[in-house]
Amino acid sequence: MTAPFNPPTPVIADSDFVRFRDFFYRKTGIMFADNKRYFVDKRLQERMQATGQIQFRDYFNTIRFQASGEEFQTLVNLMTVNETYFYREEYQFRCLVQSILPEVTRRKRPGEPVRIWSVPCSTGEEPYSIAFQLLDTWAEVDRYDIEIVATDIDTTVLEQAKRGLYGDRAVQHVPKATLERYTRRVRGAYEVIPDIRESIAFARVNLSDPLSTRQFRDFDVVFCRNLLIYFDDASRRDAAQTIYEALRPGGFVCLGHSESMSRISSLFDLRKFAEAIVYQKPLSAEA
Amino acid sequence: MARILVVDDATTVRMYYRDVLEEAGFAVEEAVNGFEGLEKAVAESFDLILVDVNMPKMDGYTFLRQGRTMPELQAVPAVMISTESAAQDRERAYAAGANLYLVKPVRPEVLTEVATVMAGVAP
Amino acid sequence: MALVRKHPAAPAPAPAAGDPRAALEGATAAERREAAHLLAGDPGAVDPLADRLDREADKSVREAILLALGRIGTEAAAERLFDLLGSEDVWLRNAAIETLSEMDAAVIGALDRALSDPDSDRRIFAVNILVSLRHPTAADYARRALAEDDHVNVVAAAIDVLAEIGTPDMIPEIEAAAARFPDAPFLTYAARAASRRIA
Repeated sequence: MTAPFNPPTPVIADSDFVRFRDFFYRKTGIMFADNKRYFVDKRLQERMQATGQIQFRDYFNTIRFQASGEEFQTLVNLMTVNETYFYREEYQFRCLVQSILPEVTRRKRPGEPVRIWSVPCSTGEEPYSIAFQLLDTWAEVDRYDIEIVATDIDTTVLEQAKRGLYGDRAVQHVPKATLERYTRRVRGAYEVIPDIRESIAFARVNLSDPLSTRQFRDFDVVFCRNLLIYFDDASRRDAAQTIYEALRPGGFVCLGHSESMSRISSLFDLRKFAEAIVYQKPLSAEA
Repeated sequence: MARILVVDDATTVRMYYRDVLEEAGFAVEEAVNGFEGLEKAVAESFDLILVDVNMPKMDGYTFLRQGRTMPELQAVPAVMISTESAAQDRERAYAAGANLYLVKPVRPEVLTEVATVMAGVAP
Repeated sequence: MALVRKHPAAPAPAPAAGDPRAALEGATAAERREAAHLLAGDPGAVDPLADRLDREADKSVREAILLALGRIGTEAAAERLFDLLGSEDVWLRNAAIETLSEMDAAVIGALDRALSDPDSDRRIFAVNILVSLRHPTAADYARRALAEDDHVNVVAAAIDVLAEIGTPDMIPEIEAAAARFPDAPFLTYAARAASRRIA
């Protein structure tokens, strides 16, 4: 009888760690300090075992050269904690209300809508969070028509987003009063009230295809969080171009907290507000 | 401790500046291009900037030009360190806002001396 | 309630009628970007795209044209991008380097010539392309610069590339290259750092 094949845990040498760290930093902007060594090693070892690679060098070649970029995506996913829930990175919504919208509306003519794009919207937590926050905290909310467009490439999550039904965990950061105002209990879950669900336009979009997104125009703010970090260099530039074209001159882009425009595109300017660093299509740009 | 921001896309160059300058008692922060340099510079303050010319996403001239309009970077001394040694490159660097222009590779003793003189604070 | 729904697919701008080559010379940036997107699948459009790039002032249109040339991805597209490494426009030459490094096999043909360019800065740019190139011979081109180039900064760039993509058997070549420049302590440092990393 033979013992089940049990691959030995791959060894990550000091030099491997450093080489990986510098590569990962160049690609993503995320820098692992020496005290993250255990965290990084464990995840590298896990993926090496899953892909049947024993030598770090071979695995490193896979993440660098694989044409589909799939393994790099999987690894980024493991190295970043990517969870979707209401009010995630809430400081950006505060930035939206306290800094971005006051600047955006200063340039508006009366009757012009405020347009916000959530991409990827996944199962809907982000666009609904934006709606809740605007209704709750933006003093000017009744003076403008606000259009929230929420898109994703995946039609399954879009259906869930439209349904608007969430468990305790997803809504745990939402203030109680807000939750009571904008959701109702349905068999132990929370359902976003129809008024809000019906006010958000959901649609399927592939951000990397500039021709498929040509009807997405005139946005004031785009939330594109925790997506571009998974793309290869060329697809990031394509997606950034799409976002640029979808924005009005002077419009803003919010990326995820572990993402930086310095790895994505040279089309936007840096804007520092009290609450967050965001990016802006130059006001002088031709639409 | 005086703090220096190193902006260069070449990993070995950043390591070199870091090792030499830390050895001399400076604290060093790195950025791989001008855009990341701006992001770091608005998040924390620096006493000196060393910046390369050719980098992806944002080059050194654009970094200096934009930085000079931002309150955080308006007055921070900046050394542009380039592989380009033609006279017009030097002029472009000064026009963009550099205080000193050096040609690569920079000897370690020169780097330390420049940092000590220009950071304006003891290391 | 202040939230209003507007279906995003409502008023789509009409697709540019006629020849996108003509639209590349259109009056608005939006028209020219759209033309570039449409031409991204047309290998015959390399010259009109690259010619427009030489004259284009709007950064977003330039980026759209560069992305289109990268997506066309032929050797002809790579050739036109290599020409930009000598551009006086620093944004353009760096964006061209980025685009080339995403084009993988298509750049191999032009690399030979670029690595023998009389201008050392262009040779440095050519070496910089190698670090992200998905091609098995990328390291060999860096080794060639390492062994043959007599400019210290080209050799430094080659060492920097090999610090990421090199293998242990290249360590002697890296050390030998640094030894050719005994007056450049940086090269000694870089060679040691690269060798430690790929050992």
